[in-house]
Amino acid sequence: MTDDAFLRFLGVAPNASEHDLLDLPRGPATDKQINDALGRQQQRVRSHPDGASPAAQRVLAALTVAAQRLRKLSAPVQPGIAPPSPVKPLDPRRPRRPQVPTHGTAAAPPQVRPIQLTSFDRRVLAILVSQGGWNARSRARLVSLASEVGLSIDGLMTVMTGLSSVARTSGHRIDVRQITGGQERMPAMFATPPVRYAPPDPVEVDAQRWRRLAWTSGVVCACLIMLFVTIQLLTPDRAIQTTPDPPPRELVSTPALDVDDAHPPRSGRAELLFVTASMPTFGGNARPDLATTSADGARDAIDYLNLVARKLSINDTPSDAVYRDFEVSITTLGHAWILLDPATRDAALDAIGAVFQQVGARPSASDRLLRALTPTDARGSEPLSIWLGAYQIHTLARIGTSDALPEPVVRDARTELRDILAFSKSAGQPTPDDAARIWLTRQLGTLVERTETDPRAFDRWELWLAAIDDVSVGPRYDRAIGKAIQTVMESDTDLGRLGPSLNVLGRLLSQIGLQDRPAVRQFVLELFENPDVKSRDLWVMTSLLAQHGGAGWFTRDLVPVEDADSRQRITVREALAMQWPTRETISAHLTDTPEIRVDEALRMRWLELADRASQLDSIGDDERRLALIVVTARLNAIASALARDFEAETMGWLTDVDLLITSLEKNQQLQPPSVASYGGTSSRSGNRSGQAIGRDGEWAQQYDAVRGRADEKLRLMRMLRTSAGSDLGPTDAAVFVREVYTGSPSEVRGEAQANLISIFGAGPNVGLEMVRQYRMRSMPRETARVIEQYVGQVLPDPRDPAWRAEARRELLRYVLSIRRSAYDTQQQRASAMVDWIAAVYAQHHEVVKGAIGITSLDGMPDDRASQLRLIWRAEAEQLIASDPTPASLAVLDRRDLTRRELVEGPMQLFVVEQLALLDLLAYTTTAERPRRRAQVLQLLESGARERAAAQHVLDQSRAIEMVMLRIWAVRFDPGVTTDAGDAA
Amino acid sequence: MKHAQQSRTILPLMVLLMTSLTFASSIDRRPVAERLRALTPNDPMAYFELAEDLVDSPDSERDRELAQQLFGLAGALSPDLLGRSAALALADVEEDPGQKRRLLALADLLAESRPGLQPRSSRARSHVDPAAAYAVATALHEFRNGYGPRAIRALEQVGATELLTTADDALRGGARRFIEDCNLYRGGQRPSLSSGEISSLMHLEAALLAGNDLTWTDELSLRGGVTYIEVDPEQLEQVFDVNADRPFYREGTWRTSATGR
Repeated sequence: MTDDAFLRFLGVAPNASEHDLLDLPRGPATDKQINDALGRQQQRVRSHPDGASPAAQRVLAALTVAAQRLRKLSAPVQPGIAPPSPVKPLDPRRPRRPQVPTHGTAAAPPQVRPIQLTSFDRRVLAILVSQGGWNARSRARLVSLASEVGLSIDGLMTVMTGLSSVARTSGHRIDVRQITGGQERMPAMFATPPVRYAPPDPVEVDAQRWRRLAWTSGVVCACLIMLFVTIQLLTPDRAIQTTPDPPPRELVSTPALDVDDAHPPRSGRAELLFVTASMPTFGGNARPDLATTSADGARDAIDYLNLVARKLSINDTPSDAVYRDFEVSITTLGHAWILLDPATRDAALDAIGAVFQQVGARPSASDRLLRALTPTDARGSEPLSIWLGAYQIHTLARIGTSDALPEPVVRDARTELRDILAFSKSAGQPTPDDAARIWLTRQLGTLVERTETDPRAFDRWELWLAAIDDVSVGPRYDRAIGKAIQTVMESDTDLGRLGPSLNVLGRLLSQIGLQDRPAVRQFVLELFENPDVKSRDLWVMTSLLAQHGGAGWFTRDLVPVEDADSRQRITVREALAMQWPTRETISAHLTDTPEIRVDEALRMRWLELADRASQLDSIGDDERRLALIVVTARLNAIASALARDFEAETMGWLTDVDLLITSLEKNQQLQPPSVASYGGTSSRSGNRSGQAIGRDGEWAQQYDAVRGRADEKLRLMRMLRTSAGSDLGPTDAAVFVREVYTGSPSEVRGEAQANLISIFGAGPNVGLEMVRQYRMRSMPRETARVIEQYVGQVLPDPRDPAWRAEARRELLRYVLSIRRSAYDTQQQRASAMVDWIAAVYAQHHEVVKGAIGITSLDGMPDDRASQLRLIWRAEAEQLIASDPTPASLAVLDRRDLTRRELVEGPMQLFVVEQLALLDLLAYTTTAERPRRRAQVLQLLESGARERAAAQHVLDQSRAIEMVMLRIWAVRFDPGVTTDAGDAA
Repeated sequence: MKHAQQSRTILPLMVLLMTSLTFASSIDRRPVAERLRALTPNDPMAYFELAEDLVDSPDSERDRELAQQLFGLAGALSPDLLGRSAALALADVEEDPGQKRRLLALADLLAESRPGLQPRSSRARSHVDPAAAYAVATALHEFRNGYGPRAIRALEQVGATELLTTADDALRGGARRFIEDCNLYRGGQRPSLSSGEISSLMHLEAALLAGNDLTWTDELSLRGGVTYIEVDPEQLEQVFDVNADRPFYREGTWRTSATGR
């Protein structure tokens, strides 16, 4: 069948190369040549008498795929390679193949006379198709349609029965072209933005309806103009500022300033509005011909997929044609999937699954098939590439979440998806809808970029909106639209000038509701804080919402001035946040059911330990302060583990913390755990002990006595290998180290240096002398290398100006690590405590990532806390906060940056990381349990007071950990709140 | 000729006289109560000027408190124009060291104009000048080895003595005693130090050389546990402890309206 189709429409064999399919000469071709060739060939197919048949659609899809491949091949032209010689598009080097007559071929489908549908029939069918068949939604719309034309329910049922009977008995399948009546795109000037959740009716509107609409519109416009003029005449203090060229503005009277006014004009007030008669919008073609014809060919594509599966099952080395059939089928389905009913989509998915089922043990085949699911033409000239790309990603994600497919296929699909979406492994596997939505939002940059210049920009937006509507509902849909609005607002285009971008903005704004959408509230408020959004654009957007947003509470006072500064923006934002009817309309109806269910026994144990930890006295030395941070940080890590169902692990950890708290209650020192218990390696591990043997000074005396005799010096140096221990006495060490730095001849110095590394590496006396005799100014290269070996650190080149400070610092640190005074022991214990805090945070990070047991101790606590913060931040982004607490994520980010400006030293940096974590925990908790907001705010405030009163940075650090513990307790609380925040 | 010389002598005197008269006329000599009553949020500078006058010649503790409120209100009413000046002025009159640091930090944050809402890039971890740090480290090294004069020479580096002073707690007897000891121990005559004291000095030296690679124990050794200052430049009212919605002074209290509410 395929063979016939290719021969029939293009005169080429089915396994012809891409060049042959597109009738292009061999060799590289430019994008323009490919596009021209594609256009020519598509025209050839469409002008064929069977140009609308499914077979023709398969050929058209194959042409698209061939063009994509050629574009991919020709894209990376290396510099230096001779560019392809240009080919005149209308004068191909190869003669055209004669067109094969098609009439009378055996494969030609039987010609069936299409049934004649009335306009009403088409509308009924369109509703059934768009709503996925007979269901509650389609029923409601059909009843509405019937009442619109004055038809009774019985009459409607009669029509439907008739349509059903014709479809069943005539043997002719009603295709999309018939349903739509071959409708072309609506003129933009008459287009009405589709209502959210109610896609526009695709049925061709007959002339009578258009006339009625035009007449009604005229009457409405006339009424509006009269009303407007009347208002202006009756309101003397209003004046119109007419600005013919954009932006149109209306001067709204501003109350006279009075010093008695309770609200002095410190902030910007909306004095001018960006006035439009109606919400700007556009009407793109949401059903291009290629989509509708591909929808007609969807069944055939599914059949081909099943055929591909069968071929793969019997042939280990399938031909290229098999892969191309797969690719063409995916392209056909991808171009049409938004128009397909759920049953067809499921059938397509089953067929794709069957294909991958067959290639489980053949990675090369799997790779090749998966490549067909990789979007390649997202920036291409064909607007439908948006649907195709989303379908490919959707399918890829479906494979990645499949339990039934072979594991290697699933794994490869996940990897591919991660690569495309630039996800990290820890981000988890997105659902198919989420993956498609993420991919679609990634296309926004290109869409916005092209809006002002691309003549098909509205088509692209229309297709994007249809796709995003398909893969997201509720808050996810709102967030996607919000992202689109944000991208438009962040563009360089002046939205105050009439143009496509303004139309797109208006259309997007008409997709959102201002009443009961927490996600909408959140992203609108965040636009005020977004430094990439110009105040003028913000003024335009809020003006549109104030005029046409359909929310009475969104008054003109909520429109910032055109050139608002940051503080004016914040002021208006706060006013908007207050007026947005969130708490009254949403929170009042919110239940406070905890989202996290924790085993009650574990929760009680954790609470008991948290209570005991809070009562530990912080008076003491730095080591105790550090120990208190270790304990509270561990309890917070355990809380995270409980929240993520690591209940088995938490039992052991709770016991550990119990012991730690008991030790601290008894004022005992904590024993930092060995590195092995965290499964990692420590840079500080393995200090060697040094011990001197023999009487101090004897060796030095002998050595000084042989001054000038190199052989004797060498002998005495070698003698140390057998007679000395791992250290020397202070006098011997002084002489020995002198020879390490300045021994002469060089053989003696080399011998001393070898002894230093091999014997006295851990000797405290030798170490002290190494520090004392260190030259502050210059150092021979070989001695510099010996110091590097001695301290066990990679140092800069000795010629580097940084060398002297770094080498000396590392020498000091190393020697301090091998000394054994009480001070040194205390410092080493404190250092071990710091490592412990880092390890606790590392473990917390791994709990959140879901990969316990691979902790390493590299890095400082602030580094570890930073890693944890990044994950918490990403998780918080996924939440819908009806009233973000303590602030929106954008504000929290900015607050975090401000805090960093005041940081001095690593401990303060850790405190700042902790504060960011605290904010994110509060944000998450209140997003999950909005009615606990007051409680959480109270905890934050008391924590801030405690920090302000603290006298030591480590006390501040512990105070933050304690507030986090209290907020975790709120998050875990199983009690349901029924009033303003108290648990029932 | 003589006349011209007289003119050259008299002219500067006249200019001086005129300037003095102009300056004198610019000083608001109205009673404080009257000036307080005349304050309106439309003129935040008037709050600041009155506060300066009160600080210059405070009659009582009450005047000082009033000046603080006026500085705070000026900054809160006009953050862009007067925010930083108010923070510095308040830091001048603040007696609590913690609050003084906070106000100075706020002034530092408000120092640079930030276009839009874009924050400044994060500052380096350490504020220590590397040259001064290296000089102090050298001084410690020479002192331990009994070469006090060399240590004193090293401390001649700009900022070195100030840096040594910040590490007062880590030095036996403080920075002043250290400098005195440097004059005592010379010619390789080492000071008598315990093993712990030697380690402490070495640790301080390592901390000074650490630059941005400071460990927690370095930090504790170098500066102790200096607390982190939390201050939000977007909440000036909170930091200045004023309520900008009550900008009218009536009968000894700040009110929301000029009519007395």
